[in-house]
Amino acid sequence: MPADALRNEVIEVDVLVIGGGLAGCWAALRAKDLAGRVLLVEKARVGSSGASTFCAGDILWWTPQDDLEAWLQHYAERGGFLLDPEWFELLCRNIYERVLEMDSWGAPFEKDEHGDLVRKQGRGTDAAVVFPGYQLMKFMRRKVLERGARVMDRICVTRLLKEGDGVVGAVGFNTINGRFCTIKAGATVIASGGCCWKGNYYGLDMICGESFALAYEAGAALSNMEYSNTFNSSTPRFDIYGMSRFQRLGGKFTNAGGERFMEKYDPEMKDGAYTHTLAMAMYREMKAGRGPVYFDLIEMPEKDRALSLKLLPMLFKLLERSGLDLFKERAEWMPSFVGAMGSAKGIKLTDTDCSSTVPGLYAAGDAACQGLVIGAIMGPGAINLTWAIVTGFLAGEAAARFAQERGVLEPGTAQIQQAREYTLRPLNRKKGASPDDLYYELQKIVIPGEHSIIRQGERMQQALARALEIQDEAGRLRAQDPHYLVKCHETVASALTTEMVYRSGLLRTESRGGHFREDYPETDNKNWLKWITLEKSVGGMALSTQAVPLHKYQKYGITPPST
Amino acid sequence: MPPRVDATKCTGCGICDLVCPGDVIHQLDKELHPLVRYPEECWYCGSCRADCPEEAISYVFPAVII
Repeated sequence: MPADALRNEVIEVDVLVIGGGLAGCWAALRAKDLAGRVLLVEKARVGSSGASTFCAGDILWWTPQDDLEAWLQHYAERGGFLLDPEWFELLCRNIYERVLEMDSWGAPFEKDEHGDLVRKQGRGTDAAVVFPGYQLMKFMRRKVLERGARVMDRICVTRLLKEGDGVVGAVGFNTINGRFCTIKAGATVIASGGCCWKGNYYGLDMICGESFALAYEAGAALSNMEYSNTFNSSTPRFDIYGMSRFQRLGGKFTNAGGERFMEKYDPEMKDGAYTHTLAMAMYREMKAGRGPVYFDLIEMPEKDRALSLKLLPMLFKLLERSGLDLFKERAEWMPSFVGAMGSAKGIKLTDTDCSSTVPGLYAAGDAACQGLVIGAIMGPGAINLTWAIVTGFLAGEAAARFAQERGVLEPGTAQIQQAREYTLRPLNRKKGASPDDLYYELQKIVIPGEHSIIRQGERMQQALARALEIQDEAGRLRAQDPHYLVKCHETVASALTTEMVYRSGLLRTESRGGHFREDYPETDNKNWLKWITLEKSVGGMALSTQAVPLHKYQKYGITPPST
Repeated sequence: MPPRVDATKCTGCGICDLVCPGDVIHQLDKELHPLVRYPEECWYCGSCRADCPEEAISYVFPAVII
């Protein structure tokens, strides 16, 4: 064990934010407005990690001139009526102010010749303001430091600390030197993303379900975990980001025979379809012997080409170097696994202040249940960043208020000692498997199309059984250094997340949005206009259902399907 | 082996180590050039290349990628 691992650093703060992507930065910024001591911890580095670092920078921006009911109607229908309309309205009204606030800081939004914010098309929207993706998180890091929040990079959080029913902080270790640290906090925000199972999509290799594992072990409920199988699409050779925009700006998909097949699968949105429809379409075309499928940007208008080159310079450099010119010719394309990112799943929010079911614990961004605003849609495009900003803001605000009221509580030395032993245990093992090999076993039961795009009861049962075996093995891994210790904890978190996915997927005996079961191919509104919730109980994972509050739709003039 | 550091341009400032989200690059000593310690874990995100003030970093893509 490295000598540093033996030391114990103790930090006391009012608000602790775990995860330094867009949601975490917003939580820290807002918390700092209201609380004295705010600490943002990040497993990698704030500014160059998290899904938001590798986004294309489209933020869905509602303004008071837009028709709220029309927007709601679109997302509600497309998302199979699993969203909460009141949450959707709050999201719209709040993002209007947040984007203006960011603009007032001098954020580099794309503007027209009058200096007004330009709104562009993306998957499912005509109203995304555009922030160059690769600058977004660097900008946010500067803002967080300027405002006086403390940032600690390279801290991997492994357990939340509790006192009575409430969360009172967390423990973790430094990923470089292995030093253990205890953070006592008045309130804690989890913003450490979803779970991407280190899939083949761009920049997501560090997002391993730690949010869900931390919340679950602390007794918090999670919702809609069956919606953890998002796809994007990319070349088989490397990943493409910016697809949401490309799909709406002249991008087109064709099969081996040259047919524009997306019109068959989604006559309304066509090539701009949400990714659960797109991945399914590509999968079915290939299974029917009409593969491979292709993508091109031949029909993209000239002004959008110029903007794309400006916003995504690294991507176009890479395309050029590999001899692909999508403006001139089509290239082979495939579904690309993203996992539990930007989909309905996440820590259950009990109120619009982003509180979890555990006092003192809040959730934001991909960690929080985004189904409240998108329902069963996969790959909803620009609304992901909107969700990160708004929930970050709300969670930071509520956490700061909670911390002021309750103050910092003492977690007790026995609990800290136990958490420390748990955290560093893989470093102490002389023997044990490597986390890399075991992680691959996990990917095999999550990523392939027969587990993610088209599900089936028996296959999910088998995958669940294998996930439980892998969980068992993950508890016996060996880490030769702190870098591998991170990977051990990532494997544990992802294996637990996999169990959540399949237990929820087996319970939902229907198909809706991104959850498609070949043994239950129809949408069952009679029985399944429901959210699935799970939490830790004495006998293991306990699942329950809750009816979607359909009465709320009437206020917005929308008639939900009859049950 | 991605990423590749050009020793004639590198000043040992350590920014690449600082920004790498995968903890792949380690600058152990200011006098030494950065060490690509876990090359198989690099996912070509471009952070080190984009932030290197000397433009000393390039990528060598394996055959499966290009």
